[in-house]
Amino acid sequence: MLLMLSAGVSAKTYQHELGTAELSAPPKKVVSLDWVLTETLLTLDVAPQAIADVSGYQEWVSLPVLPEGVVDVGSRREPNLELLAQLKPDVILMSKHLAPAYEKLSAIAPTLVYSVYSEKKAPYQQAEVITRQLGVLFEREAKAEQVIDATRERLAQNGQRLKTAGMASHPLLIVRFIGDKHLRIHGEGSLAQNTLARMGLKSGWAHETNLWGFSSAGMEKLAPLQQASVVYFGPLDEQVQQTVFNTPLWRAMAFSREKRVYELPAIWSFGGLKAAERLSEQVTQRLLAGQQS
Amino acid sequence: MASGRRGAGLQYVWISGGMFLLLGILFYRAAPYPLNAGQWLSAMFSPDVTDYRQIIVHFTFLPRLVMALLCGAGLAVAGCLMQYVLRNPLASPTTLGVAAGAELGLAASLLFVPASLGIGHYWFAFLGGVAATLLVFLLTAKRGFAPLQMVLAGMVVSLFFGSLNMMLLLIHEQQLTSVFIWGAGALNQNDWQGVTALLPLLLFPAGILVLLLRPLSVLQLGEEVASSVGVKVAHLRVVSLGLGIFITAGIVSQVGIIGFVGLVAPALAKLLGARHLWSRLLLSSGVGALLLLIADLVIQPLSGVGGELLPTGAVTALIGAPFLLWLLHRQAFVSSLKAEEEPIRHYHPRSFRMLLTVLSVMTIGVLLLATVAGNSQAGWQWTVSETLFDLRLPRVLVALLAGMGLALAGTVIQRVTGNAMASPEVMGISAGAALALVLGAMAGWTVQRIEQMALGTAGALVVMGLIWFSGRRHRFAPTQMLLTGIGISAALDAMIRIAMSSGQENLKALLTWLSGSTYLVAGQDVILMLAGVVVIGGALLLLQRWLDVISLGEVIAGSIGLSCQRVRQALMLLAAMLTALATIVVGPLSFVGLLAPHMARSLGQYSARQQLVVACLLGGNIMMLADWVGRNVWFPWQFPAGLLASVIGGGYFLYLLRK
Repeated sequence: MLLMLSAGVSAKTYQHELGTAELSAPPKKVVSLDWVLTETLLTLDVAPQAIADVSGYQEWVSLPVLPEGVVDVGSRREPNLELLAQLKPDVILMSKHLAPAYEKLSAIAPTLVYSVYSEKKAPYQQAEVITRQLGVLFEREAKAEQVIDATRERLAQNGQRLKTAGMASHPLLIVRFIGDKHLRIHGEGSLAQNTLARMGLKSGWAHETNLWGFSSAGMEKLAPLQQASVVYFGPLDEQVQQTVFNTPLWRAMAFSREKRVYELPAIWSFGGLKAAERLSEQVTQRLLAGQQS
Repeated sequence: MASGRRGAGLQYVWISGGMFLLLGILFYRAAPYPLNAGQWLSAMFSPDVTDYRQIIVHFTFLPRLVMALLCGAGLAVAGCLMQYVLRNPLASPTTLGVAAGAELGLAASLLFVPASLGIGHYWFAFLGGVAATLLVFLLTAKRGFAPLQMVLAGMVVSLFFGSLNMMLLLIHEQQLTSVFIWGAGALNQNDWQGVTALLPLLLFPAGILVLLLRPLSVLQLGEEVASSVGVKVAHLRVVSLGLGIFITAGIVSQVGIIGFVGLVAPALAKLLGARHLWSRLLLSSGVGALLLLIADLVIQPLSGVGGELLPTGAVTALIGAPFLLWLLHRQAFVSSLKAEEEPIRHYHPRSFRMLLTVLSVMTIGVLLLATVAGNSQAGWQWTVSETLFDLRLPRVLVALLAGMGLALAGTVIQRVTGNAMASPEVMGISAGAALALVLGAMAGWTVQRIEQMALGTAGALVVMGLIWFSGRRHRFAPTQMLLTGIGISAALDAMIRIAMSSGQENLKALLTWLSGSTYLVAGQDVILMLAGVVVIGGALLLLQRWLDVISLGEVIAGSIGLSCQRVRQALMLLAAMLTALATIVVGPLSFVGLLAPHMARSLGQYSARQQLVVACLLGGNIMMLADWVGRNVWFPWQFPAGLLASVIGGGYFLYLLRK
């Protein structure tokens, strides 16, 4: 009933990954159930009414800063349907990884499905596409183009800076430590590798990766690639750091002996354009700073 | 006689020769680098630190293999000891809650213990494992540590701790990614520290065990005999189980959960002809060490395929399960698995009518509460709008019906198999449905609700077919059916654990469904469940005489003209259908099916009809209440009904045990 009423005069039809949805443009009350989409909304200066897992966003994605007063609708896996129904949003945004709930959500409000991470395994490109789509949805096409261009430019610039500083010779291994014995190494299909490619840098990891663009491996898998430099996502548990960096294996590797190991701040490894930009900024800063010391 | 001996001896020569050859080939394949003999020697004893290949061999490859041997042997000894003391061939090192306790300890320490304290997380895992078991001991102390009670308490404590742990995982998914890898049992090592830490934790209990061998072996003659010759049975039981727990906790805290070795190795040792306790222990440890070593050698070269880690623990279960199924076809193994359960000594029947009235009133009360009362942004509300009612009612009703269905299924399975550890889960149906979904997600499929249900159904049907096929060969004998189910579930669970250890976001999205959630249910699910529960539940009530007679044993049942095979077949089919239905609608956590029948018994309901009805109402109430608590208490966050059911039902059951 509600849906038909709201779809009154200025209704438009939007294509998305699981079908089409009709809604009045531009929607005012937006709920985003996916962190990448939240990140993208905020880069377009659209403040969501509610998002899933507010504290998780603040800890793991951190930037762009979430404005005050955004309602928390619960976990990203099972956002609270009753609360959503009470919020009466104009549109709900989700990724297809929440597909089983699509039917339930679209009964509450028109629901649009956009996924940065999918079997296409080209998250950077996908993030640009989705930034444009959201730009159209919220009538911020110009802003979207500006974000896309600025990010591209930034990445190219950063790459150039590293090249002129002579820091682009070693391939980079972008990793996340999982406990003190395992790693996730970002490779083909990861935002990290896409970003490196746009910066004109080489990624050191050429092995098979999963849908999200990383491989899980033991530390010994780095040995044959020790000529590369290692960049790891922080913050890293102090204890893990102690254990890992003091193992004979780690100490024997070339990147550790030659002090080519760099820590990044919290950057969401499954983010969008903003995350890519931050990654490129941080990598550039760390590599240049490391060179000075 | 003599020639038989020599034949057997020759057989052993062949087997061990084959084993060495196999090990050699596997070792050669798994070795990370083709070093020559001299380099191997130096890599082993004095690695050349400038050659990273030698460093890898010395600090990762070799300690990992030693770890495999130690863990395999330790888990097998622990398993052997537990099966012996608890007199249940299905007992395994993790039975008494060790794994769940350790997992909770690890997760809690990762979240709440600051790294600056400098205490390794392993110690908290160890403490967690020991604490869980202490709880089991405390709960069963009053009953003199009776085996059946201990096994049950262990399972409930496992469920209880496991669900607390899952709640932590759901909130702190990102911080706890390492727990998923740990949960799949990865043997990766980066130095010899793991080995040196584990060794004393194994040698110390092993030393004590040697001292205990004599009194322990008297237990084989039965409790009465043992106590008449002056053995303090209860004390002995606690001490030896304590040793088993200590060993298990040590291993689990170091490398994570390694399935199956502790279950299969002792069974194999029995099959290989070890009769005395000491020979069983010794042979078990050898078999266990070899099994884990072989598994690890097979896995190492495969790791990295698809970008995944392939943790040894889970893969062991994957390999071990079909092996167990194959063993089931061997008569020797079958006969060695006679139920060694103790009969109930005291009955405390209570009025069925009274209980029925109380439970019916309670059901209506909980139904009303769950539908009307709800948390919101503005706080608790005791009225319900039409929109909210439409969202809420299907969840409440499906929770009720799923609880009822699973409780009925559980009652049937426990009566037919005569094993108190049996629950709808052990049939593997839930795991089958879950695996189908996980595989779908791994393949990157985007499934909506209806396709999700179709996938689940397909998985459940395949497993039902498998059980049917292998059940037919054994004339649906209960123990075999249970073992088949356990084998299948273990294999499927292992695959799920491997998938989860990959840490892919879309797989983690399945965690809530895997814990048994009513989140996705809609109106048509209610009708489906209602039809299923009414029709199958009605059929079970009509067949109550079968259920009464079948639990008296095959001989008695046969003597009054019941075809045991037919009856079992029919009853298990009904139970399987109920389980499949509930799983497809709310997900695979069917623990209510374990607890509700027991609760019905502890409330004094022994006949089939009474147990069915009471368990059914209890199951429905627990699930409804769990769903309500999960939806509201942590608003706007929600926890799956299955998890809360383990907490609520588990808590109540632990209270019952304590009495």
